[in-house]
Amino acid sequence: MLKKLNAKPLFLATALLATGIGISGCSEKIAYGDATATETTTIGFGSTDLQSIATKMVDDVLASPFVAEVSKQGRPVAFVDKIKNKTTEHIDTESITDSIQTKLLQSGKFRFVDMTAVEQVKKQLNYQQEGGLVDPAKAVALGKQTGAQYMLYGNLSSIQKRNDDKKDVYYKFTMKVLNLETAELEWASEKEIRKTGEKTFLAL
Amino acid sequence: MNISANTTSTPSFTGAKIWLVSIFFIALTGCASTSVFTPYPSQVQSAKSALGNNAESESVLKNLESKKDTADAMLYMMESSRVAQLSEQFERSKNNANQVINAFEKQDLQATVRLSDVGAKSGSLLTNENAIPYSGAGYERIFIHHQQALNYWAQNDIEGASVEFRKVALEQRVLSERYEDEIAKAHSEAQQNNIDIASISQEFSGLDEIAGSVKSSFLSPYTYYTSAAFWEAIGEYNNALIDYKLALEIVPNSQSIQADIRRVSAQLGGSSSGETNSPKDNEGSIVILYEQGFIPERTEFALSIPNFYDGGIISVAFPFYANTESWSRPTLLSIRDDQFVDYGETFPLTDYGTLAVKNLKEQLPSLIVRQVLRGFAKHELQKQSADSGGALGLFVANIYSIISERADLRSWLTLPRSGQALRVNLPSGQRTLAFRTESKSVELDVDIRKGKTNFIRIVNVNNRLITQVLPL
Repeated sequence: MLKKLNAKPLFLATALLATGIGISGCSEKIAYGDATATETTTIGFGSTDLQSIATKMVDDVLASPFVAEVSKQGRPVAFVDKIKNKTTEHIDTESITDSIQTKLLQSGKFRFVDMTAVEQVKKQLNYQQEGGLVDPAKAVALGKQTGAQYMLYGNLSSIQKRNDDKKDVYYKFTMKVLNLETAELEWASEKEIRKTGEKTFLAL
Repeated sequence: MNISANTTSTPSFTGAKIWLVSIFFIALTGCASTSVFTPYPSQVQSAKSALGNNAESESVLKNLESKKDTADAMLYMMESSRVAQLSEQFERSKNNANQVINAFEKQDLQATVRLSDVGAKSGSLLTNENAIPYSGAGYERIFIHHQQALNYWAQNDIEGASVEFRKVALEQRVLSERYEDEIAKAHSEAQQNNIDIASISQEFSGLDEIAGSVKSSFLSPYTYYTSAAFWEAIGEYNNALIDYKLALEIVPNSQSIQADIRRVSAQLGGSSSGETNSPKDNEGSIVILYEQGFIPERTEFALSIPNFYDGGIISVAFPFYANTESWSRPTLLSIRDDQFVDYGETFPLTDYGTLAVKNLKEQLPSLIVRQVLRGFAKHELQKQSADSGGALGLFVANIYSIISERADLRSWLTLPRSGQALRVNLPSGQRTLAFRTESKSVELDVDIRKGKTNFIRIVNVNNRLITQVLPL
């Protein structure tokens, strides 16, 4: 029976079948990786960018004359304001500031007040004072919180360019420290990142 | 192949059967795309009629979302994103739009030739153009970001909306860079009788009317205007000024945008003479974003040419937009308050039909090449069917050639026909506003706040006026 078949369509059908099997034959593969390994899955903002920004900011601030000066009088209290996202990507800037804050805390040079927790803290203190359930002697006393002396803030902006076969993205992260008492800028630093992607001619 | 091996019929009939089986098989491999044998516009009809009808939209959405893993996923997700948005399901709309946006971004750096595409392309040679996965058009990419910005905005996520408005600006810039040559050509052709709007007043400096007339065929001033009004309302006057100017470049006669530019220039410290359309001390502003109708559908031009040499029939089918000259002008929306004071009509900004026609024109050359290749492939198929299957084989192959030839009618069809806008100032306080078209009107209670801007989006489809208030 097969001999009667025209060779061409049989070949075509087999080739198509083979392609079909080839495509559906993929299976999932899951593995653990190094959290600090360079990640280049896409050109968008990724973990490597986040880590390099946080490292650079922390290194810069710790090496600055400003920190050398203030740490003579103990550990200054600071708070982190929101980092403005001015890019063309939905980036969680809070996670960048979290990394920076954690590293600065660990350095032992700074103390922080966490403005994102203010609402919950208020609620808890109100409960302790007014609920009638907490022993007044053991309740946390009011009016003893420390006010921040410095504010950390900044922004992340980007310039993106693209044509038919290339994509280029440039990120600039700027961070500043403001003295809340004098309104002076005590320190500022920036980190630039450039990434490019190019089309290949042939791929699977 | 086992099926034919088990039959005991005559050799010629078996040959035809084998052909049927292999045709069926080829059709199947290509049919990752569901539009191969069902024209796309008829598939999406129910989605169009569900706009503004929340009872119907759920089943339509489920149906569209069930196709999110098919070859034409981008298309179905575009439609479902708009259906979800207009039934106020912003999170759902956002997720669906994200799939489209990711697909577009993936294409940016995709290899020029991909072996996995070759299957679909060769499948399309024996079926039709619809076997090639849908990959979206430039204007659709603009609108998906525009729509995504509105999703974030409706959820009061101003930073998210800002990101999408920046993205859409990037996409419009990428498109204008792609068409730079075309703009340059228009310049050299129009050197005489060049009216330069930039010379009228210093606020309009940097505007290029000739470039604007070319740009109107692939850029969306409605999107520029929406983002400009957004930037202005959140105090980003620099961005606002740029986007108002880009909108005016394409719609140079708009008195309203000229006033917008003067107003924002004044905010940035420039001196300004002329109408600025600014609210008085006791007034607030309303910006109306109006989307009217449906974008035109492609129609098919099919032709069967008998091949007298060997009795075969060669079919060709091309998509085109019918009667573009007699397309009706977009209808406007007027606004009146509870004191019967008229505040004028919206002004047309983007004609989505023009964008769609331009996009099809761009596709035509490669479409024609593939059509010719397909003609050869199907003719070859007829010859071989006649050789191995005799008259019956040829008959089957001819029928196949005719029914399989379908023009590519795919495009995002729940898009509006026209995008329009209007900015008015009203005395502050609670007011009932009536928005009216020729055949329909809708009333809305609006709290006008002093010095603030209210954004009202109105979508006119299926003789319904859908209203959405964008919070700020």
